[in-house]
Amino acid sequence: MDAFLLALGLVFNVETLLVITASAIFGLFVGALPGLTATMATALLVPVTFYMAPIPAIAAIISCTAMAITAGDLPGTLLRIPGTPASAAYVEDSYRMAQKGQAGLAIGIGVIGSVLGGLFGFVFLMLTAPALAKFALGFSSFEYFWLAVLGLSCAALISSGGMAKGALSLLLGLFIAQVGLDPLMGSQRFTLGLTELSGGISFIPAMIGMFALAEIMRAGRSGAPAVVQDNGRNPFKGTLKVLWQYRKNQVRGSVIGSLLGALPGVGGDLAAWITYSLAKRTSKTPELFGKGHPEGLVEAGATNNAALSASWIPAMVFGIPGDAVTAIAVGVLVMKGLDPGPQLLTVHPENFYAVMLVFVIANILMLPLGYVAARTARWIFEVPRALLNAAILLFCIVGSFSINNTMFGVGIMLVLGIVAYVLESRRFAIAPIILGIVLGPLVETNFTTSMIITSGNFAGFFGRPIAAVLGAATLIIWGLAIFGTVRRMMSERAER
Amino acid sequence: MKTRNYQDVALGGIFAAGGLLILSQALTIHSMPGLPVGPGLFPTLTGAAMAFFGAVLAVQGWLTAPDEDIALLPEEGSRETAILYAPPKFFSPFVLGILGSTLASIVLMPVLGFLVTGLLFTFAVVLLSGGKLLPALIFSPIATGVIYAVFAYGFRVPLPRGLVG
Repeated sequence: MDAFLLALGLVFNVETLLVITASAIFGLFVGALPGLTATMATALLVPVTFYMAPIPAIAAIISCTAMAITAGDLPGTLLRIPGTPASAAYVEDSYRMAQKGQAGLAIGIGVIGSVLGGLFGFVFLMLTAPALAKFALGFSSFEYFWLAVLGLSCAALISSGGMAKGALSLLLGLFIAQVGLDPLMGSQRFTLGLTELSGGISFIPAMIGMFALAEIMRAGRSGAPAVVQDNGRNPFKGTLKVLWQYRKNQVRGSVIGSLLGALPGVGGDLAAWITYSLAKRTSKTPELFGKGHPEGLVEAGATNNAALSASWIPAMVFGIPGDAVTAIAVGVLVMKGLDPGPQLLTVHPENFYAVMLVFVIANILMLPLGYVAARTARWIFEVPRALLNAAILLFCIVGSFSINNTMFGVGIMLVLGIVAYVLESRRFAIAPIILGIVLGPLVETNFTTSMIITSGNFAGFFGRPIAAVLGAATLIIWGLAIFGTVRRMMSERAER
Repeated sequence: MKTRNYQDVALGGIFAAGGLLILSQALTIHSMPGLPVGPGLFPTLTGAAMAFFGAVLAVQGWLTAPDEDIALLPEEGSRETAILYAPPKFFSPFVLGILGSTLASIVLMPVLGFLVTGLLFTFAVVLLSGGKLLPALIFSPIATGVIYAVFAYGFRVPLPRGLVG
């Protein structure tokens, strides 16, 4: 109790509260810009934290990250440029909602759903941090491999073009992830002798090209004109009604997000894809998914932020970051002498509780800031298409350039934008490509490690109970998909 | 009359060929001595799977009717479906112009710098997108300047200065 009171004193002072607010606004600004990510926002903030006390420093990172991830839904909804790989899971629905004049509702669902999911994740973090982290630490490369494959399979099989096209999208993403140095021996693969490809293909120019450039080429000058938005005055109008209607999805998304987010290396990206797939499979109207239906948006959005909170479990309790953002945060904790690990809970519990309180404040701050962002973001629809195209494309170029400060990233964006433009015209889903790029290294590393452990015997992948369950689930999902495709083809031919 | 989805057959063939190419390249990657796996194993599996699913897509396209009737023609009042699944028009002036402008900016930006190239690029894209000359003249320097200020001063991104400095 004393530790909690001390934590209140550490957080509720002018300096920390000002830092939280300013960092949240910064995160909102960066996250809302097309092509800029929460990771970039967090990385940009690190030099500023050098000059801060430990708790304000970590508070800055937490509030900036939470806000930037939520704000990443804005360009996704308005311009079809997802802010994070997680928001790519539901970008089709949110974007189509905006095209129908429901941008405010889509953003409202994203913001309020994220707040609820984030708070759920916080409660989950407080109650289960030690036990869950211990459970996750028991995972080996086998479990991580199957978990990642399960998530990728869900992403490929729920995509709109069918099983073969979904699988090809995913495989293309996995191939792109293999370009560069391999994780086992560091030898060059598919680099075509180009030095720039040695470091691999970053997912940020890929994401910008495949979503933003392809969208502009497709929509073009005759693209959708300004759409009258239904809820311009109150962008959150109707949000609570929708959230109540899909309350089961909200709760399920939060629970699954918390569980998966706690696993190092999994995080919200994979969790959002799994719950979007689950929402579609259990929905009474699965045919509406991807066409501006809020059900998947509610579930995957809740998952996103619940997983974000839960991803701090391995980072805080054992010092094992789950993703790029928590890796940066762990660096800041070490820099400030708050060594993450069991001693953070035992020796200095006030610091642990202070960080937890920052989570709550950051999540609550999302409501007013998200409201302002939603109100101002709708103005983007009133900008003439010609000016919007020019500004977005210049953003695309600068965003792709800024990853490695070379024009090579812009070239990657251009090539992958053309690829996406062609593939999407033939009903290939683009999002599995992005997920393949992001999770490819994780899948390959765990696959190779597992193969070395089992001396090349694939049966060993089913040797551990949890791995066996995950592996069996993956194989069943593929079996069902293949069976369904064959049956549909046969019935189509019979009808003809 | 029997109809086939020739575009899917073609794309399936391209993917199958690409998968075989990846497979052939992956098989040339040497594995680590004394280990059952090497850096070529995962690409081998990826290439093989891509070749397999490419072949599946080609066969599917051959056996089933094209889905254009459903996908390419929008339902009544469903404009977004029409936009999303419209066939690519590579030779439309807009698409060629956008691709050409982006390619030109990649080549010119290291030489002319961000400010000059960004100005020309923005101006060209506004006109290509159907904007008038006056808005293009007003908007290009503003957009370029604002984006330059945000990235160069705000995020410390070293945008190309070019030979003209």
